[in-house]
Amino acid sequence: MKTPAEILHTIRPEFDFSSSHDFIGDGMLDSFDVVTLVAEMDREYSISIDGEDILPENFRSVASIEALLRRYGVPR
Amino acid sequence: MRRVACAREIAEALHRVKVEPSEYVTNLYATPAILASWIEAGELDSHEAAGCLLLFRRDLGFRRLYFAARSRQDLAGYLRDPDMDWRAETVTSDLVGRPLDVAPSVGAFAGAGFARYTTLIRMARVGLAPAPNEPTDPNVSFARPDEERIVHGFFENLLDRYSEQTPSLREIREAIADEKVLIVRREGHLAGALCYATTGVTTTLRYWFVAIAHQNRGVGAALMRRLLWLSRESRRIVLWVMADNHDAITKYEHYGFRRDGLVDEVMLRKGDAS
Repeated sequence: MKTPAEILHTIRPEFDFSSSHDFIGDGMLDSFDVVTLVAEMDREYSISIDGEDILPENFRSVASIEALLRRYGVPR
Repeated sequence: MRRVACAREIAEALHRVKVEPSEYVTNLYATPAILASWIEAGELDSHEAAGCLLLFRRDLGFRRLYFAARSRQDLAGYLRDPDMDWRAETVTSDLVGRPLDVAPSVGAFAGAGFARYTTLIRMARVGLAPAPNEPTDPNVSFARPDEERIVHGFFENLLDRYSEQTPSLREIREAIADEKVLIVRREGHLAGALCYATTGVTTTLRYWFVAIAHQNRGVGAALMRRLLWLSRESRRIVLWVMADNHDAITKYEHYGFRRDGLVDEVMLRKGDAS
């Protein structure tokens, strides 16, 4: 099972996500990337992220993404 | 349709649409800030049925359609419903994604009377260093606040309103204040203009136009060189271009842009009342 960091690298291989604490503010992920990321995580973890949770604050960092996934029962 | 009064309405509607594992499809990529500006301007109406949310944004004489649906099947069924009141108006919709992912949605829209109006492709310039010296073309400058109407009119006259999001005067005003609009003046007229936006490490080239009378005279190149210098800290510069504009694509490739795999199929349906 891929980690969130690995999925991010698949979507945007040109960026080093470990160097950022705010993927949205730092311009590494745009809104299309976020929707793509949600679709990839839905598939990878067999979940369905609620439309209400597709908000920038849930995708700003690996930590916030992992917190979101835990709410959907995905273990660390 | 009913007017959207607050962002909370959209969030709750999305919650109703995207429940349980589903084949969720959407073209709603607007950020919360952009949605808020549309709502504040009174430009956004919504229409909802089981498994499907449609948002209509008012533009110049037509509406732009954004959707979120539980499945493509739900979307197709909803679009084909002959009783929908929006069918009296001219509507466009942008289907953005990788070509293979977008094709089924194109089919769903075609089945509801939409035709492909144009195709845009996204190009990106990634991680390349600009020319080492700052460009010194004296004809390139930032637009002044008192030039906002001239710049707005320049873009409005040259943009294709269905496939390109015509900026509002307010957007141009804010971009000028932010020093994100470059212009070239020749013989007392606005010969070319370029508008861009930078978020962190990504710069988006939003508009880049040269007046017909001034084309092939280095105006566009001067604007691009200045943009590349100003965005030299950016890791990525992105832009959208019409897929059949081979001249423009060749020019962008000359500056190091490459297709990044995304397309925007712009679908158009003329209103039943047209």
